[in-house]
Amino acid sequence: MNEVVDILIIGGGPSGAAIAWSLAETKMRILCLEQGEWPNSDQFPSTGMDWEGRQQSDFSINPNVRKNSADYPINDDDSPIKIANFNGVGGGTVLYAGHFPRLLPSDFRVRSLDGVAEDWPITYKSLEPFYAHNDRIMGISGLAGDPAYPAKDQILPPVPMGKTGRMFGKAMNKLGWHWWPSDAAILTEEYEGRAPCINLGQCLSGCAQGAKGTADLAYWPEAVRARVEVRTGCRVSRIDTREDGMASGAYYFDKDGNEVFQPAEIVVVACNGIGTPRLLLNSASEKFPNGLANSSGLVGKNLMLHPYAKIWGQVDEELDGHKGPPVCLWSMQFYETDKNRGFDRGYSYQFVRGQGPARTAIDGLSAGQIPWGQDHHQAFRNAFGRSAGLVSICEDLPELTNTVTLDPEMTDGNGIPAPKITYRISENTQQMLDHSIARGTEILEAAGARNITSQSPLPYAGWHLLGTARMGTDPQKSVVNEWGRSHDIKNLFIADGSVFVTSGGVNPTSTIQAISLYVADQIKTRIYDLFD
Amino acid sequence: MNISDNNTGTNALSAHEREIFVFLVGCIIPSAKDLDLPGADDPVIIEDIIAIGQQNTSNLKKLICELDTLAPGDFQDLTSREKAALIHEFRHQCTHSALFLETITATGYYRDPRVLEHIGVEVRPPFPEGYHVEQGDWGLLDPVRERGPIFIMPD
Ligand SMILES: Cc1cc2nc3c(=O)[nH]c(=O)nc-3n(C[C@H](O)[C@H](O)[C@H](O)COP(=O)(O)OP(=O)(O)OC[C@H]3O[C@@H](n4cnc5c(N)ncnc54)[C@H](O)[C@@H]3O)c2cc1C
Ligand code: SF4
Repeated sequence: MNEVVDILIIGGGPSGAAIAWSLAETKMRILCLEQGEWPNSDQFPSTGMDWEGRQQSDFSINPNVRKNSADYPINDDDSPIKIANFNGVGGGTVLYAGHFPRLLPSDFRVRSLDGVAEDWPITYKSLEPFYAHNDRIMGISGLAGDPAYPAKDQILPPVPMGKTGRMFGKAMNKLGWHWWPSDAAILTEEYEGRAPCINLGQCLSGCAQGAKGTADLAYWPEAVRARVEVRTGCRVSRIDTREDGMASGAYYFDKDGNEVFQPAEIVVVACNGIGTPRLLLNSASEKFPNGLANSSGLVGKNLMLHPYAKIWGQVDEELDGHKGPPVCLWSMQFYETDKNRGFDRGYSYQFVRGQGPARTAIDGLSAGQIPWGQDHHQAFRNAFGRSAGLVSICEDLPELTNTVTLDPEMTDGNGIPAPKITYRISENTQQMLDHSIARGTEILEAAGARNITSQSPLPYAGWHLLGTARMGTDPQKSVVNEWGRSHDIKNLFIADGSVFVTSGGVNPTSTIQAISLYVADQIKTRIYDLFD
Repeated sequence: MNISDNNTGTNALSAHEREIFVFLVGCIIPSAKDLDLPGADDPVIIEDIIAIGQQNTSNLKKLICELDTLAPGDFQDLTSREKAALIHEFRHQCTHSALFLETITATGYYRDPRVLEHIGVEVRPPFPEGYHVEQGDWGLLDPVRERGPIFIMPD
């Protein structure tokens, strides 16, 4: 048996990294168990000529395609949206686009404002200092003064507008709609010893330049310097409990496939909205037959995935193509509820630049815009470097029927039951997707685009994994309390997107990390009566 | 159908399967003599496409099975009309495999140096040189600023 630690963090992604970093100042003995390895930027696809091909193999965003030893299979057959993630130190940030919006103040009060779902037990104001702190550590670029948000500091200048941004900015001005440069976890200048972005355009398959705000670069080095231990290649199979119902530690499979017990005083789960319910459900025991921390029955329920629609077109002028961070601008024009639109809540737009040559051809072929045969070449030339578009990120309201359960047959390399996703797009979300395609088409038309196509939902875009262990003050209606502690197991905390009460209509990582820092802060300030 | 188990080298495809495979790939992206562009059935490119396909064994196996079903007899004996019917059937009935074939074809084709040069892409990996993207003028945001706040502050 290993030596006991004060705090055991399971998962080395951005939520695990943030909480480890914050708790490090307590000088407690902190250990993070991560099933993957440290990313090696020398091996990232953009370092070789096969950069586009590797996005479909060992650097696919889909773990079922990637099948690296750190990955676990996910049965997502019963979902129109397939799951994307990355398992390794840094978690999903290794492959994310770095689009870094915060939730808006209204997101925390949807029941009060719109009569849907539940209010959060915390507010934008209570998270604000943690958002700001996280922005400084991740190194967020952006432009102060966005009228879609309460005031926030600018840390680094925004990512370049490029020809694509200019085209969309003009189109949005023509329509009189909101747009703004995205807050992005992309260094536009040298920052804290990290190199600036050189417009590789490959954020989604790992930044070889190290300019992207990933948890392995922004948080972990300092946490490790402060003596937090990250033990890689260790997949946790279950959390164990003592007679008194408190967590005693966790079992994990080490690199050699041995099952080892790691005792701990406090356990923090940071495995994301799928990995976390999977682990809690796999931790069922005689005392907790329905899984750990699950007296509410809500572990694995209310999965929210943010359905995306993509609207795309071609223009005559040469745009940025695959050069530059794909993240460019956002629009919050349709974010707040407007009952006249026929749905509750709303969505944001993320404007994106073009694709590399192979991806341009693949997308054009599948959309029927680039044909087979002799006409292929001309159609390709019309599309390549002259295409751009936007995606809508639609607020998904919580539904008990959208779930993560354990697959009765599928297991990972260590024989641990795999998660199974059951997910449907609700009527409300569908209307939002349709609305976003109609408005997105108007935007592209205003930009002078032709051959406008759309796809809804984007099938391989299940990268925001939220809501499956929600926070709340009522133990019957939530899994953790308002500061991230399990209602049932008083030394068990959850620090990832599972605790989201609603999803908002923006990418979640800045909020996930703000919550993680907030939970750490609560642990520190309540240390003397933490288990009461 | 005979795809070798280890899936290495071009031997993974029998001569018959290879013939149909090359034919279909050439139908997706044919050569363009006027543009001095090779087709995806160019001998160098085809090897690369097959190698890419072999990274996804289950998709490749499915594709090969379907090719065999589509043209069970001697492929060379097919008339051009029968070949056109084969393409139609493949694209409309084997949609998953058609998508897979399009994907590996485009991936292999659009990294061939001759093709990249032709479409104006430098023949080098993105890293470490990177690219230039123009900064732009954020003065374009003035009308957005002038309209003022658009968020709701509930608390
Ligand atoms: C392609 C892609 C693009 C994205 N783009 C954006 C974006 O632009 N903006 C944005 O905000 N978000 C984006 N995201 C989402 C973002 O990556 C996630 O929100 C974020 O990474 C979640 O952080 P996390 O720490 O909660 O979980 P994760 O990042 O998933 O980290 C969890 C970690 O836990 C480990 N783990 C899981 N189970 C176990 C176990 N049993 N034992 C040991 N270790 C375990 C995993 O290996 C993983 O490293 C994107 C994601 C992807 C995949
Ligand atoms: S565009 Fe910038 S952040 Fe993205 S991969 Fe390239 S250098 Fe990194």
